[in-house]
Amino acid sequence: MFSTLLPKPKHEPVSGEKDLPAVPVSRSKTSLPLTRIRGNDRAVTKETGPNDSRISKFYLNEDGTLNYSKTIALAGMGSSGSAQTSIEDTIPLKQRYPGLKHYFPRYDLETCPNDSLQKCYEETKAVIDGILQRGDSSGASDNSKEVEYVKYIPATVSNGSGNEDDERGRERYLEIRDLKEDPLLPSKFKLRKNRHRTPSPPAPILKNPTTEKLSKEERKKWDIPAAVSNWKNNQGFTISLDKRTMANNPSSGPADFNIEGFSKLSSSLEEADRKAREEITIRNKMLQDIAIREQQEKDRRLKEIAELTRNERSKSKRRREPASTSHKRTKH
Amino acid sequence: MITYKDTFNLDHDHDVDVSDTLANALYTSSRLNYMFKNVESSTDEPMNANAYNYRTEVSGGIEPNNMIKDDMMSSTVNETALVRNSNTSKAAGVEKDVGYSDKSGKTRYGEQWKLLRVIAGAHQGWVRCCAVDEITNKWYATGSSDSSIKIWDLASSKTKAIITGHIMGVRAVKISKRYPYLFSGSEDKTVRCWDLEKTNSASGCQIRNYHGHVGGIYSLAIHPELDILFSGGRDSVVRAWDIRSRAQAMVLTGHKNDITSIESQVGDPQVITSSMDGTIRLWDLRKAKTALTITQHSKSIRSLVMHPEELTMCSADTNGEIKQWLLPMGELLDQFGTKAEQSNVINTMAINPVENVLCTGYDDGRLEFYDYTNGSILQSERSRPLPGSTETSVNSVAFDVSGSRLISCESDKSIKIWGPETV
Repeated sequence: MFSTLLPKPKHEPVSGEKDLPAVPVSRSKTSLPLTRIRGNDRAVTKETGPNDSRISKFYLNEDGTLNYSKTIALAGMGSSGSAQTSIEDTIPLKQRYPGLKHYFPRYDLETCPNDSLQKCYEETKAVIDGILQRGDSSGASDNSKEVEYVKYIPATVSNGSGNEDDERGRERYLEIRDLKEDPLLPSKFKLRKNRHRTPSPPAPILKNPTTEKLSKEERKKWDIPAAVSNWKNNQGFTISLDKRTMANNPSSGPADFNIEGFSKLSSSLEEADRKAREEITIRNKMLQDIAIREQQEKDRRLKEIAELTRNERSKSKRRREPASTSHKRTKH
Repeated sequence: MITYKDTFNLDHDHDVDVSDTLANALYTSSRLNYMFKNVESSTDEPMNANAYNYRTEVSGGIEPNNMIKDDMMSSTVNETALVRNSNTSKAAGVEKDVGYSDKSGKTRYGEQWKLLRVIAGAHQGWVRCCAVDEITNKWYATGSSDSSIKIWDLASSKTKAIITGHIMGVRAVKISKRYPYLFSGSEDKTVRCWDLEKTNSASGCQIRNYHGHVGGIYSLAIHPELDILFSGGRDSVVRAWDIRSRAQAMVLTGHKNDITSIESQVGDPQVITSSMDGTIRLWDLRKAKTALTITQHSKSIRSLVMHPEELTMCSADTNGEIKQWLLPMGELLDQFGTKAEQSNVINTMAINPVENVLCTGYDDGRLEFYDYTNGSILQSERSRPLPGSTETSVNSVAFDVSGSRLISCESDKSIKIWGPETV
């Protein structure tokens, strides 16, 4: 009787509404379970009021507990939606029922045994015709839309200084008209993916998460080398040979030429070149020496010859001279 | 009875008329087969009706498991022998991995698909898409990255028309079954409608365009009964257009990445889309809302095809996984696929309803043929790149109506035509 005057007990013996799992169940308790739908899953529908959440249907398991996944996945979908939420949905029917005969004929409007297709067709046609007609009418009204006037009485004036009272009750007219835009201007909007908001809630994901990590080789496979052009190098950077080969022949993978071998080759080439040059200089020198010697020999021989001839001439002169002198003498 | 070999030879002689009539005969015979198949199965008509009821009542919100079980029961009771047969055959197919042991009585011809003809240099860029005219079965259209559409004679492989007008690569072509129209979607963000009867006129044959997409268009679909065209692509929404008035009737939003393929049918998930975000969405067209999101693929889906005569569809992701779905509710029916060492990216798929063969085209030029009913691999083929290109990828495949030719559009700028060869 006076228990209401006592303070609240610290440890509540009986769980009240507080301990009930989450929001939806308590709500379903307060509201009335209305209909029951045939099939494995029972569903409880609740009349949706204006301020209600979007969950309008609660799906129960066999044992009467709430099927959270299905309830959440189908929130806001209405009666038309369905969702795959259980592990059973990922097992193929042909595995679950090994005797399943593969016979699922499809009908068209003529061959359909009942009128379901016809009904579906007519409903869709009606919906689409309705949309198209509405679209036409709205387009027409868009064209004919003109200036609109709205009467407006401000309740408060924010920037009023002295004459607030005069402004407060004064009636104003607003003119509303569409801003004309140049249709030839480039569009203001860029293509962005997911422009349209995805309808919530997301569908339950029935696949394994990608847990495997990329190995180093796999990551290397995805590595794309920078583009190297054979024609353009505006900045004039030096492009190393491996980069060039990589760019020209990406299928060969990383450059497998032997830089050590290259350096060896170039050094030995240099050595050979130097040696050859030395040899050539030595040979040239020798040739020059030989040529000089030959020249000297020639000169010497020429001198000799000249000496010889001079001697001979002088000899013959001397031999002739006494006769002539005698002759002279005789004459005088 | 016309044997298949005759058509094969005639086709090589470029004898257009005769082979065309033969193709027609083949087509009608296949239709007859289908009808006979139906007659045979009319013994289990109650089961049929059952299946249909299940589908219609599902739209009213009934959990379908019970009904499926009922179907299963009846089928197991009635056709145990048949079922056992198929089971053993599947096991054999798995063990041998060759596939032809399990074809006993399944297809009409025990055949392997062989490359019959190559149209080299068919386009000046990658050939991205193709569509066979299902009314006459005499021609097909291909779209290419060189921004042109070409129309080819199926029998003689000669160009019938070149349609220009797009300013970027053509990614989707679709031929209307009710009008002489060809629809094309392109990376230049336009959907265009071409009147094929005007292809010779000087002023060009474009009669309409559908403006509104903010990204390239990767896929098109036409509603089989209503005059609505669906298009989707880079901007990750599907737009429904009224074909005549060019007005946009609906925008179906929900996908988070590029839309890769769209399928449409009369019955209840009237539109089905697959996307690069790895999901498939079944749409309720009356409310313009998603009815079901299938999240079971682990990588992006590049191809989704619906069986032309069954209430099933197949989707393939870039991991090489193929999943088969039962349609009104989108239950997983089967999953299969092969794993190669390097690349498993499936670009495209096509279903041959005559022999129930599923063909998948891979990004590395592989072509694989699966038995649609039990998912066993029948044949694995590799398309060789033509001289001038080092590698090729199969961008699009399509069967003709008679199911005797496969057209593959490849990125070595060629169109290859494959046909079955009796072993």
